[in-house]
Amino acid sequence: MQRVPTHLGFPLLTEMMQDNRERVAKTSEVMFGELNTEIASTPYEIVYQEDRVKVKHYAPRPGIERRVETPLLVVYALINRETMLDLQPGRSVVETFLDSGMDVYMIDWGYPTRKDRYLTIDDHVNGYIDNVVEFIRKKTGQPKINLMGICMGGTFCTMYSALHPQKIKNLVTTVCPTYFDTDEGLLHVWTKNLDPGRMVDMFGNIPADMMNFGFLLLNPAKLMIEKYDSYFENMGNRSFVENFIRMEKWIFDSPDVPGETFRQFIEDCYQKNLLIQNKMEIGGRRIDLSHITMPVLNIYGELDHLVPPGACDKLTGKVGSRDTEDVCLKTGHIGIYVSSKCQKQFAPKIIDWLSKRDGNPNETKRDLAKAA
Amino acid sequence: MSAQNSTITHTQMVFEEWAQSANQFWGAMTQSWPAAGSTDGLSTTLDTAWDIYQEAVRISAKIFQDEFQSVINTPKIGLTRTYQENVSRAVEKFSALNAKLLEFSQLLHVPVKKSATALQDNLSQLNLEGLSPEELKNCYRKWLKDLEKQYLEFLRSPEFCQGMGATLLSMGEFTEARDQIFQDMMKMVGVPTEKEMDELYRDMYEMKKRLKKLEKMNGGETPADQSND
Repeated sequence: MQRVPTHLGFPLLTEMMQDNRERVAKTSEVMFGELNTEIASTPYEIVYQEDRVKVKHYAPRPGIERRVETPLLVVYALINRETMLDLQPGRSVVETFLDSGMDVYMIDWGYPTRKDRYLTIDDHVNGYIDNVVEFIRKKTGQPKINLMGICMGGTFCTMYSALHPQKIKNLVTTVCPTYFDTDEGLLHVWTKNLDPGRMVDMFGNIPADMMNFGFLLLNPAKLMIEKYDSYFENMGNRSFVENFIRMEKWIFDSPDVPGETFRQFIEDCYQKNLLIQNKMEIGGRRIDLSHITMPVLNIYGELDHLVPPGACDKLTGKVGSRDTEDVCLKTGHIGIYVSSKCQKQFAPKIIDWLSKRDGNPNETKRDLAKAA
Repeated sequence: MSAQNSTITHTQMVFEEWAQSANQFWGAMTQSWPAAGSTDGLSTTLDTAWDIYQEAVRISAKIFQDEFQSVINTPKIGLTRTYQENVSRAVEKFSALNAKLLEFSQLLHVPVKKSATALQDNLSQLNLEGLSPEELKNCYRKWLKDLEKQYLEFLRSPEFCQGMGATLLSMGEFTEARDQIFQDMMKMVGVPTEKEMDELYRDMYEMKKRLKKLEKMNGGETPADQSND
């Protein structure tokens, strides 16, 4: 029988409780007081809606010099919500883009219901995304737009850019899986043993709670114990609690995943790795990555356990464009957007990169002045 | 009459086995309390309790398989035979799901056990007389790191992957069987079933697709033409 010596436990506990009276008082003050845990607070306007899909428009701030004239469409994944890009003031990718004068549009995929279970990847890419791109082109009068994809949204953007290169000026992919035949990440190992067809037949749409539990299982010690341990230790710190609750709000705000999209994404991407081999078909059209001829910026996280570097870094070698750049940041899947350190690296890098490829006369002047 | 007696006997047997397991569990817990107060420390009854719990569930699964399964699988007759079969199937799948969930929770427990053993070794090497709260905290943090490492290794093992796949399958089978019963009930009260709604959604989806295709071909208004200006 295992034994744990604890005869010192109670005296130590008493000592700790006495020392922590002040902490308990602070905790009560914080937890029972007013907390600002609002997320996605940057103002926007819904300018487009089709079925459950909406497009948010963050208008360029007046009086700010526009470093990038071409509008940017941001496409988030179908898992979790795009509100992560605007988590809080000071840690908002959207804010940083607006501070550079950019015209930002973002797709809100909404919450799929049972009637969305038959929507395929083709419906999302050649349907919704294409319609949104067309809408922005007509609204702004721009022949091409900039496209930025996050995670699975980046995979969709890659597919879209290969099928409609004439509409995209620059492509930015972030923590985007395009190569799936790797055992670096647990998701890649697990999905090989899944029967997605059976799951879709059984559940219809893949339940959000199931997906969330799966993501928690990726690192149970950290995500189910250490995280909350840290929370209980810092409950007296208002700023910490507010940031923590914002993250909790976002991380468990998950939509279901449309069944047929899930089926094809697991079968064709995770299990057969067809995308990088130029063998994947959607809507009867084959995706050939060599048709991606616009400049490509590919950013990923060295410590990303969901989409490891090995799943991201093969894209630029397969596209037809000669203007490509890979950037590997020392951070994880979420940290790339919300960590205070990456705020200075991630969004500014994208702005800088896009501005150099915008054909914007202001930017040309700036470059010339720097060179002089 | 003899069938009735047989049922009563079986029910008694089931109850007795359950009572035995519960008694063992309670006995193990109460026996450990005096040990907890001693300077030898608290015996981790967790393992014992967990083992007994597993045994209890294993026994009930075995009882179900040996005693009830054959009863449940007897051929159904009469006007309501389809509904009876659906209920039997749901009960069977529910039992299977419980067994699979137990197996899955056992799998999740493996890294916890391994890291707890390492913690035991770590604590036994320390001079516990003069241990400060900070040092205890360090032990805890070390245990967490070890637990994380154990999980990262174990979660990619074929054993875990297969267990997870089997559990998901079992969950889906039970969901299907349970939903079939709900659908039977809904049919009785005239409410459209999920299957019927799925068929309707499929038709709507196909029609919408054809309509959008036609709109594009004929140069009519598309969703991209909408504007809030």
